[in-house]
Amino acid sequence: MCSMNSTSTDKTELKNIYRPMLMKIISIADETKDTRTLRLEFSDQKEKDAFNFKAGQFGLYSAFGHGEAVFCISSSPSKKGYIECTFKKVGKVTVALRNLDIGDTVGFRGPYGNNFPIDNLKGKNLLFIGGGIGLAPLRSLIDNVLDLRSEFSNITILCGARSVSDFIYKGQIREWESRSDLKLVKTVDALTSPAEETEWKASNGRVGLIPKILADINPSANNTYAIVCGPPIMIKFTLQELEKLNFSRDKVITTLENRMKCGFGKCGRCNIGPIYICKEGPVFTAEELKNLPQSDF
Amino acid sequence: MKNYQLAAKDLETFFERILSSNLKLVAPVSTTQHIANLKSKTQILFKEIPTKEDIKKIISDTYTDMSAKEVFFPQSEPVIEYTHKKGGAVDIKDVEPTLKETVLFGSRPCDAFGFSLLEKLFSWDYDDPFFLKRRDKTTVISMGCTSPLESCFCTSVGLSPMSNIGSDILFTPVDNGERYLIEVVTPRGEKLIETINGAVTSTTTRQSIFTDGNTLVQNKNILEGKVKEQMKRKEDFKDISDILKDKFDDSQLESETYRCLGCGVCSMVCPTCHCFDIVDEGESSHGYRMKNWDSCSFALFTKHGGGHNPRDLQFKRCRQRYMHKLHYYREKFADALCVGCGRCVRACPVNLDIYSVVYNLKKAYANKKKDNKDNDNV
Ligand SMILES: Cc1cc2nc3c(=O)[nH]c(=O)nc-3n(C[C@H](O)[C@H](O)[C@H](O)COP(=O)(O)OP(=O)(O)OC[C@H]3O[C@@H](n4cnc5c(N)ncnc54)[C@H](O)[C@@H]3O)c2cc1C
Ligand code: FES
Repeated sequence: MCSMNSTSTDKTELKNIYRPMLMKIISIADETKDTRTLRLEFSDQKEKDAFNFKAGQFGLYSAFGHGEAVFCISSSPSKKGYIECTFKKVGKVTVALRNLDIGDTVGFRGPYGNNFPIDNLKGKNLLFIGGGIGLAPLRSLIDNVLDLRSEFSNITILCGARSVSDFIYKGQIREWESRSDLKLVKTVDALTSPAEETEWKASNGRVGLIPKILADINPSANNTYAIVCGPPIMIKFTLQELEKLNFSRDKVITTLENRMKCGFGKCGRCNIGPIYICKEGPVFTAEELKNLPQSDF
Repeated sequence: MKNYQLAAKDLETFFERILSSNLKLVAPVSTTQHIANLKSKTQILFKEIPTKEDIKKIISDTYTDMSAKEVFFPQSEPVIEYTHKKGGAVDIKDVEPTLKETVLFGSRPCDAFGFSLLEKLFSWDYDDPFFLKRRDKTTVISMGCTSPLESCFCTSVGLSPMSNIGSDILFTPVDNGERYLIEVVTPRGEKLIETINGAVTSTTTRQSIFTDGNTLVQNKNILEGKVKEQMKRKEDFKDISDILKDKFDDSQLESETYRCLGCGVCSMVCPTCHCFDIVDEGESSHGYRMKNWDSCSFALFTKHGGGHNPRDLQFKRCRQRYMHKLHYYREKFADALCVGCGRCVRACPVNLDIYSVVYNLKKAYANKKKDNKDNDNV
């Protein structure tokens, strides 16, 4: 049996790991009718200077009096001085965060978790696949990659949403579309009116679920990493499609979003089998996921 | 570390000296709670012993309904305080855990081992100051068991009714309860003994109440062997981790856990369950962020914001609890997250019994292995 491991250090000096940093909302963008992006700036200059994170990491954002919720940091690590989060209104904390205004204070703890292995991606073709709000963690990485564009080979972004109005980052998608150094494919599950259809088709938009469009564009697996983020069901079928396209599982990267409270391996909430998503994730290869108990997802 | 002995009749003096040394004393007492003026419920719980008059309430050698993990990890505790100010600004303050030097008396050896398991978790890469500071300020005195309950199974998880891991001091009643062998396990324990011996008021000098205890060690060893022998539940849990590794989707594990109601009482009484929730409590203008006990048995525990729940059925939640205790924790920290105290066995309203589950799984596995061997030989 192991002996106790921390009896000798001075406990009186221990920091409060539950204490959030204070941040000010400096801008608000409504992405869809229920999804919003907040840009946040550290109130404390020292904390601002010391803060660093990597694409793929997450934090706990809090509306004081209502509690904390986990979101990824959706801005690029190369943008200094602020972070962004993009969240959908689903419950108590997300509703409370929506009720805040520019200038108001929120709490932030983090960054936590592992990150996208950006160094392994260098020199490779990259295929980004994002469904719905899954584009949020991807955007951090895409922006990061585009800031270092010359270090990567061909880039394809496949993004999908339920309907045209459900796309987040509409402005940014247009920006990506206008670039000649990447290929962007966008799709919706369904269109809602003939007018919308005309406009969507005119902008090269497609109609169909992401796995189907993925099969249509038939990307080569050669020297390519696929990075997939989205709701659990979309991830499941997309990974199956990538397998058909001969992507090896260690070149398929995805993120998991289990319910979390602490973010650092104590509250016992986020595990799938023996793996704590908050500490050993949220970024995994499909190979790593294959070894976890499938009925615990 | 040293061994001492204390005559049983001097135990009260020992407690008095703890109080007069300005230490907080926590020990088992019988408490009756009145519920809505209708029923009353009597339980043995760990409570602070505030004054000398309360010392006679201490039940020094007993089994408590709740474990003493609350001393380090309270059921509900504030971790920060927030105040909203004008113009959308917020002030936050750390909440310091109350940190009086404390003596926890009367935990069982299994409970004490549980504290060391929790300590590993609460110092896993991120040091939880609330747990660790309290543990650091507490001297744990455990009472060795001379008559374990039928539901106890500490030897199954590699402990003994008189093991000292996780305790600072271990008392064992020997010579038919006439005296205690006092084994000092840690420097913190030794310091307490010195304090007690040296606790002097301005008018009286005190005589040591301890004498050398080495002569009692032999008696304890004999007694320990006898008590272990008496224990009914002896199935070794060591290989259950490897068995469970392949049994996640096993129908037997499902049927063993199917009757779980999800009430969570097992987690509440457990000395090692550590799942918690973090919520804000108070008014919108001022309040506290709280860390509250939670349980993986509860349906909302893992429910995603989007509505998906990975553990949508009760047996899956119960399975998680067993897997965590018997397999996952062992993979990470080398020990099982179960100390064999039997509290969950005694508390469960549908008689779900972790020991029986392990016992049945092991038997089934052994039979299957045997069948496979027989088939191979055909
Ligand atoms: C690593 C990670 C990254 C994430 N990144 C993002 C992100 O970038 N953007 C984003 O929008 N989300 C993200 N999420 C999900 C996000 O954390 C949750 O949507 C958020 O925590 C919900 O908080 P809430 O307090 O608003 O919801 P809660 O009030 O906690 O409610 C959430 C859901 O729980 C259920 N529920 C709660 N209470 C009850 C009840 N009493 N009865 C029945 N059901 C109930 C409901 O289904 C409800 O919709 C991420 C999650 C993880 C783990
Ligand atoms: S979020 Fe608490 S353990 Fe992972």
